[in-house]
Amino acid sequence: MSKQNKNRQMAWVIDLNKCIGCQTCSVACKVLWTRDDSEKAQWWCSVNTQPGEGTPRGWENMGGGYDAEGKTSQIGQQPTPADFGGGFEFNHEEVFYGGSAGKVHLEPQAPREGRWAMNWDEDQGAGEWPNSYYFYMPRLCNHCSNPACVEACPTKAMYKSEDGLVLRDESVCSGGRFCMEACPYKKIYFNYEKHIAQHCIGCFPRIEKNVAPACVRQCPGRAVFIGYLDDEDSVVRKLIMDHKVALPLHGEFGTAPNVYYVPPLSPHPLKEDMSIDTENPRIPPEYLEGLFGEEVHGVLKTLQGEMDKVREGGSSDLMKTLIVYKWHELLGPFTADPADIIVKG
Amino acid sequence: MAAVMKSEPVYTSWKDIYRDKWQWDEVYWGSHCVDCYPGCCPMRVYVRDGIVWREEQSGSFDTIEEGVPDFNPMGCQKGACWSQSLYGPDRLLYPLKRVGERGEGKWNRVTWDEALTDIAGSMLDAIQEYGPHTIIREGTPEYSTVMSTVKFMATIGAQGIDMNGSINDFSIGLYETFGKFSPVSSADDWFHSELILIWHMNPVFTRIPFYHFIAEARYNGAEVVNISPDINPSHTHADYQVAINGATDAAFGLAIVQVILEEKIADWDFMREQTDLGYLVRSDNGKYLRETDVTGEGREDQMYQWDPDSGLKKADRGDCRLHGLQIALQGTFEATLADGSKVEVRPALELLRDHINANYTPELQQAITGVHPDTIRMLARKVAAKRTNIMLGYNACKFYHGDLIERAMCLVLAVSGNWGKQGTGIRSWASGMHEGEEIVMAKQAPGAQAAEAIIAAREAQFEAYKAKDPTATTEIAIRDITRLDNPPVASIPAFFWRDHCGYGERWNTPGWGDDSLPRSFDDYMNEAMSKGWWKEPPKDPPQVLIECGGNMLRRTRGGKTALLNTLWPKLKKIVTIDFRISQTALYADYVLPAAQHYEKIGFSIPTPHVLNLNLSDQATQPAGEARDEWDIYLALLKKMQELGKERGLTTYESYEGDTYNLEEMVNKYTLNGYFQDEEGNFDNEKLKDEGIRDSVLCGVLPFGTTLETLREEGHVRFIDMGVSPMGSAQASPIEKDKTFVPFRNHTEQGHPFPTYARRAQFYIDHEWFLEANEQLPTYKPNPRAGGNYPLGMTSGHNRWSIHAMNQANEVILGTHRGEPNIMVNPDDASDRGVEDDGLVRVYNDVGEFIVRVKIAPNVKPGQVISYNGWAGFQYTGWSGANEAEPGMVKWIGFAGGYGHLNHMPNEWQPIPVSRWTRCEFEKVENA
Amino acid sequence: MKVETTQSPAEDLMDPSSAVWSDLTSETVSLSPVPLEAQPNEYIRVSRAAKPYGATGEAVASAVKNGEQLFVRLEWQDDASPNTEFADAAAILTGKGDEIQTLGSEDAPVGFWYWASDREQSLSLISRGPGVVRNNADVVTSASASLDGGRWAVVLAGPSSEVTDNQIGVAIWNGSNDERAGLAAVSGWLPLDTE
Ligand code: SF4
Ligand code: SF4
Repeated sequence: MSKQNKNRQMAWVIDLNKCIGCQTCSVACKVLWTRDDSEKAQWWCSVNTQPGEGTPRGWENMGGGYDAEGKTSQIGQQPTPADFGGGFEFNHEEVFYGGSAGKVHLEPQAPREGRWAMNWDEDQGAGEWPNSYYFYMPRLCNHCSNPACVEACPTKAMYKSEDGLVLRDESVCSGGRFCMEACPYKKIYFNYEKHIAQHCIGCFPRIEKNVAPACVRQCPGRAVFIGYLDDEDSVVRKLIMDHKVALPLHGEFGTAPNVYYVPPLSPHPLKEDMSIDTENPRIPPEYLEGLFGEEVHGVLKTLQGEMDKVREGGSSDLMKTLIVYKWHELLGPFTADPADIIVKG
Repeated sequence: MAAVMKSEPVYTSWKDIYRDKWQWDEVYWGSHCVDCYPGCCPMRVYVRDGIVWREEQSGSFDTIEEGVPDFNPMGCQKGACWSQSLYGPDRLLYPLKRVGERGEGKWNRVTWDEALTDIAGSMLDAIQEYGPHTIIREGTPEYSTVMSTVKFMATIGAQGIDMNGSINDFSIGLYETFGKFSPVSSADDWFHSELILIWHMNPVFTRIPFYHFIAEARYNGAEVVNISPDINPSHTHADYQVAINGATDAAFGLAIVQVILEEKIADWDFMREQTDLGYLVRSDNGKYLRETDVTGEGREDQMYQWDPDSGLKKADRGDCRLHGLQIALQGTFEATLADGSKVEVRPALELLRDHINANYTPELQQAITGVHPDTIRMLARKVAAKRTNIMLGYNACKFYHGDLIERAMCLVLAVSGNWGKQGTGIRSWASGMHEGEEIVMAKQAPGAQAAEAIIAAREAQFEAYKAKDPTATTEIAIRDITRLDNPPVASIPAFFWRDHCGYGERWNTPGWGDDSLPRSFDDYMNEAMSKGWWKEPPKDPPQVLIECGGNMLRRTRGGKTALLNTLWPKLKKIVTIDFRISQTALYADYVLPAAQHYEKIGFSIPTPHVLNLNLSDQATQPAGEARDEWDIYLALLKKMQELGKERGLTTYESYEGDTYNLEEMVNKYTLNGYFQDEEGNFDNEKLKDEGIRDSVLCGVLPFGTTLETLREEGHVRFIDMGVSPMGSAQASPIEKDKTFVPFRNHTEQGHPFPTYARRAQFYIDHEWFLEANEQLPTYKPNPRAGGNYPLGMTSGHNRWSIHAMNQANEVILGTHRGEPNIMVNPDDASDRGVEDDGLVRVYNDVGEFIVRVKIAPNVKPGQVISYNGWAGFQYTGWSGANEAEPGMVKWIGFAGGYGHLNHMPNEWQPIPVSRWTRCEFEKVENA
Repeated sequence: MKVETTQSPAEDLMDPSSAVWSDLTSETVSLSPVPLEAQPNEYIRVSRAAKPYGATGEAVASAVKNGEQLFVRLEWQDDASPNTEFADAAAILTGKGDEIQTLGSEDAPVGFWYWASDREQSLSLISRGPGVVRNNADVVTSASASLDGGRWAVVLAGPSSEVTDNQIGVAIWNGSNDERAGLAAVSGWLPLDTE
């Protein structure tokens, strides 16, 4: 029996104090869903170093979504293939077997000018040594409750599923790409061979079998939680609504996203004389406010406060929840082991 | 508000396209049996239409200790797309023979028979002309290839080069201190730490499957400190970042020790029991007071402590514990020597105090390390008060004075009582627990009886040793026996490079080594040889190189420039056996396709980190004409036998004088045919089953474990560390519901350490150490190896590949820029007119390489980071960063004649270093 | 528009530069943008309010019948800028009703014989408003095109049985102006004068 339920909203919580930018989520997703040649440049799940331009390049300034109230559509830009970058072809054959005697080496076969890729600005970050700063932030379709892409789709190929996933009926999609303009997170890709847009499908075939999505189940950092928002027992609900430590990314885009983030604490910076500035975090709070809104300040305080409490010997339900003693706590109701499922035949 | 369609449209068929992508016919257990250390991730391999479709972490570990997070779902991004390498563009499918010059990149596909005939012929030529020691293999810990290669080489009497000596994951400073380099706690034990010092490790890159234990320990109250010159990726979840000057860590560590001693917050009893800091040192000559001094006879390695009540007390070589005795750590005493003369003696701790008070107060160290004194004091107080865990990787050991760095780290733990209990310690690497595999190699016949005979003989050997020296523990017996049976010195890579690859010149270059020494490198080396500390290795030129799992041209410091001109011309045949084309394969004569990990049965390298033996089953048939290495070597042996017959060659002698008989070799290799199937091919499954059963007999795996049960469960937790040198060095029991920590035998049972002094030894009075002023941990500046250039090149394992293994995998190539780079500070780049992604030439007096630049403000000005693991063929001219690494070895590695400072395979020997090599870079125009 | 019947083979007719076509009389058809207020959702209306589309003012059309197949040749001047993301496209519209300006409506759908410069195959679609299209597998169409001096010449062919009320329409999308879906220039119904 599937634990899917009618008209619920699924939500992800990603703990940025655990994410290490390893890209296992991205790779797991890619190997599972976007392995075709025509999907080479697609990364439904991607991880970027923040601050940075990310993927597609400069997506935060590409518009789309609504006003902060979620009412008025905002004009969006459709990211170009160059903005996404990547999907490079390589010259393996020539290097290995072409008889070049070292004159040809393995490298992307793409113009150098304006080159970009999914994780191009990895580990670059911002600031100045020794106070440079950065952190990692995975992104996938936010499966918004007020999805601008769904509204913008003239064919109505896009819809909210019973689980609250934003899906696209690919047999209906006519390749108009308005969704790509309207999505403020720029998490929709275009398949130029199939003439359809594509994006994260929330691993619905796995959900149907009670198996957690690949980005959740395969995250070795144990940073990604999933569950239903209306489920009283769900950890995601607990983190979002009870402890209130998980915030949407760019909530001001007005789409009511359902991927939430526990914002990152950071080591203290150093003062001019190289002593530690214990008053401040390394990541400027204004930067985080720009991503997660004003509430981020309170959340960081809560996180630090609870952490300090435990250090002083106290006990904290929030810390225990974030520790995740048993891996299954991350998986919400989707705890089935795929290896136990007979899928074919 | 936008209208949202809530109802599912009638069209659902599109969903089947996706449902179909997540389908399979069969599921197997799998893992990545390379030297992805500590790796060890259990995966499920999904097979569809006979092809490995994808893999996914199994997430199948039980909770070990209640209240400690479990291990699931171990894995990483490389592991999550390993299947894409299986059928990827670098996959080898057929035997290839070079046509044209070596390295020209022209190949002919040949039959297995043709290739093996030619290779076997060259091997026989080598044997006939010089002997089998001129057939060499480079050591590699790649678990899926190592056993078969070792067995093959042993069967023919050929020469393996010491693995840890060539890759240099040998933590020499840990070894100098503890007499062993390999303590490892289980990764879940990190959760118990209260203070985690990430120090010469970058776990965000290199411990992807386990990193969560650090993040979770932090949520559990631990504080995390990241100590590195660059604001490296592991700073992201730390509480403090210590932006230390490169290679100055010893001064930083010693300053922490200074504060702990000065503020009297040390764990004095721990020091008294566990270390030699209470041993008495003569003021007249700086040497330990020895039994030979005091009585004129007895043991030279019998030292003394000072009992305030009764005066001189012989340190107990068989028991660290003092049973309540408060031996002196302070004071000046007088001892009477055998000749009646008096000599002043002081506890080693006194000497240490003098040393660090004079040089490493928080204020003094700042000029060296750049770390603020307040930071030192704050950290010292935390270290003294908290269960402290030093997360050390295999980076410090790659610095010229890495041993001094590591000795200072160990000292930080010693003065604060931080080993041998949960949440504490320092780490390197260890394996060897799956002893059954070793037993199988030594067996004369299949079955339990033959195994039991070996186990009994082994026991008897230990007991005999202990009978001779009743103060020895089994651990000490194992190490000394291993040392005594040591393999021929030819296996030590330093000698190999000196004799066959011309490295001697580099080592003697002024300025590249330690200029504070009174003598030249050669002087020390000649002394070491003349004193018989090392056997003179054979000088015959190597004839045949078998690369199986290794990748010499990519890995060796000095790179192909160093080897292609020196070693390569001597070699009559270069053979690469691999599942993928590697940098070394490109310069080989033959490239033989091996089965990949999903195509043969094997295990991932067992480690104390995970404490499990993980099965990686054969999920599919090898692609193309690829074969299991066991089978390749069997075929090669058959060929040698056949050709030997034609040449009338039956027996020959090895360098050591042992006789080898070609006619018996197949039988030896297959245990008289027991490991052969009906067609005569190698039956690896049978071998694996036998090995598991023998591990059960050794008492390291639970009773009843077989291949059958492993196929059910996928993995099984070890119950004992066993008696391998690395396993026994853990010196701790495995408890079924507890995280694992090494050294409990030392802290709980008083087992002595396997050092000269039988304690964690911080005072080394070996004459060379005294001459170099390294008797105590100290700071010495990093030599300017590579020449007088303004920049220092650092490295470390990257995030994107296991060594160079995944560099041709297009999925992985899509997770970064798709080509190598160096990371540099924005100011250093702009000073040289270089822009991000611009092309530069990095050079020094050793060599050069051309590479793209990535500009990042987290890099310290003056630092160039070239992460390790790019394949040579990803660089212009196939020349990677190792071309600019001189491959220096610290002379002190040739020290001997001093207890633990004697050759020990995988451990005590000179090792090559590469970090903080001097260099410069300049812009080059795009080709 | 005059529609002659011809015996010329389909291969010839599918060649826009074939002599068959130069012998036929052609007609200039004027086109105008699909109205903004008719666009199917707020996003498109908002985002296109200040971004004109459908500026392809006219096309030259000629048509011929061969058995059951109707062949229509369209020729128009493309603007000079290169296509980046979207393709140039054209469609022959079939159907009836007043809603050709909005590319059909829910109640009065129109058929599209649809050609786009980035597709190997032409499509057959049913359009129920600007961009509101579905595939129509029941109808088989074909197309071929040539570009010469910035002028497209495209032949679209489909079953004449699809033509209702003896009229067709023309729609053109200018790819370099990111036109697609309802962002088109469309004609009125053009009566066919079939022999
Ligand atoms: S979310 Fe998990 S899998 Fe993805 S990058 Fe972060 S730690 Fe790695
Ligand atoms: S490559 Fe290593 S770390 Fe990654 S999944 Fe495989 S065994 Fe684990």
